[in-house]
Amino acid sequence: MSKTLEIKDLSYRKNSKKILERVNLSLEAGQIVALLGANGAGKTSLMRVIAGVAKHYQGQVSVCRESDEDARKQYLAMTDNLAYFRDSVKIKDVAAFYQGVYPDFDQEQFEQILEFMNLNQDEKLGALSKGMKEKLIIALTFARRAKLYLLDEPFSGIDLMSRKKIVKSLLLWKPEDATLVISDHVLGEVATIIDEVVLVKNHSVLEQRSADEIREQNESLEEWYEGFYEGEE
Amino acid sequence: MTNFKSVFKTMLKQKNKQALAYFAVGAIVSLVATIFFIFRYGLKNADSAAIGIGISAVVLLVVYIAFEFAVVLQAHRVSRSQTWQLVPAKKLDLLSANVLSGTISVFFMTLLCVVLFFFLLIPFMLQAKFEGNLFLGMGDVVKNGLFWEGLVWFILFAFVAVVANICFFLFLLDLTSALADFLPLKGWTSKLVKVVILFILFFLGGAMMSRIGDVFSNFATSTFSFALSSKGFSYNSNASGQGLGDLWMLLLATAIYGAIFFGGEYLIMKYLTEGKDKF
Repeated sequence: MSKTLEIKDLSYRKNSKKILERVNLSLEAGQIVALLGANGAGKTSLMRVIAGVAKHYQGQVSVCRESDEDARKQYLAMTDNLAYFRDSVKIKDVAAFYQGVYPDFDQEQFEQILEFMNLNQDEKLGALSKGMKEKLIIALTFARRAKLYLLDEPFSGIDLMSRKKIVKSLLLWKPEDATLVISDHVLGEVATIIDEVVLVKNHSVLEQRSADEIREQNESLEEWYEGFYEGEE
Repeated sequence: MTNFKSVFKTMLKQKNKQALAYFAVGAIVSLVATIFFIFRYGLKNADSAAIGIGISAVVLLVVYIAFEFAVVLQAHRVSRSQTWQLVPAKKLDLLSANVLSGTISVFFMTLLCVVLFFFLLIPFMLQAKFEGNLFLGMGDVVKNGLFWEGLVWFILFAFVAVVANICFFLFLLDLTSALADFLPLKGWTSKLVKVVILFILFFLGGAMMSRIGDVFSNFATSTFSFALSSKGFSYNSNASGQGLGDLWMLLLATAIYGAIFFGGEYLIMKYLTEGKDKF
């Protein structure tokens, strides 16, 4: 299998604070990967570095063998919280923006996902609940034909039914050869669909293991994950 | 990869929308002011008409200046936003599109304001109660070759000046944010430090611009200025025959400081500016 993502000796600091140190990671094509770690472990920063949004890091990051920061963006789709858009902007305007700037954005697929998520194109961003907005973000991300999808805490603060709907949509719209990375501090609904687990702790990747292997050796993925934080407050 | 054209088109659409919103505010206020003066004092009263038009002109000017600030802030928002930084475009394309779309939206706004201002003048022009030379000699002015030459120079100079100013302020704002990112500060202390850095950079940048201006003015053999007179747009030179050469000097000086800040901004975008997901 070919490598979708390769990270070598990555270190990253922000506001003079160490965020990531000597991270090495390699992900194969077609996998669904859970990027786990406590709040503030550096999961979001790691995704932002991969996506070329975070700067002044050291080390090498390549997506589909492309390490140039601008060029590797064409292979990846990362969830964006849409903070750039004002509340008065309609969903269809955001979609028009995506269609304008992403050559791989598929409007038809976007409409299908939107329908699946029960969202209306004429609704304004300000009128959307947190869960609806998260669904929209997923729809925009998966309307692109990318090789690497980075979902940054897609379930934070949303209800169970919405979480289930999002998980369902991931399975429906993820291209077979694409790699999907989902970051979160809990496993929750994604536990059943993941192929691999990457654990971020102490500013680095502490573990990278196959989900099946963990399931064989432990009662559950959750139990294995919680084991790393036993005795900690 | 996303090309310059797509990025530019999307940015221009957003900025023109913003221009229309600002223009709508200016248009409503100045229309109300003009209509009030027409109904209150009538078209035949030249003094009150002049006050009404004067108020409208001031309103349009204030809205226009506010819009210029908004263009710079919007350019800063674009260069700092995670949404735009995720777009698979080259940094140079993003920056060029950001500056150029801002410049064009400023020209679009100028055009709208000028058209509205002439629209507001129409009732008074039809009454022909204005004694000013501005309308009476307009036909002759337009036929004058100097008018067209002056207008072309004016537009060219305005274009370069707007580009250079957007680059200057964008550079200052982005460098301030990037420097603040290095400091271990949060909350109001971070904001305060940002303001201090911004002021220091503003004075340093201003001093540099004035130094470039000085260097070029030493080469120039005369001083000049644009003027809107009874002859229309024209440039005035105090040394006959040297005006055009000097105009080139001023244009060059403006283009050079614009290019310096554009280059500086490119380096900041490439190496320092992080995408922000909160505004």
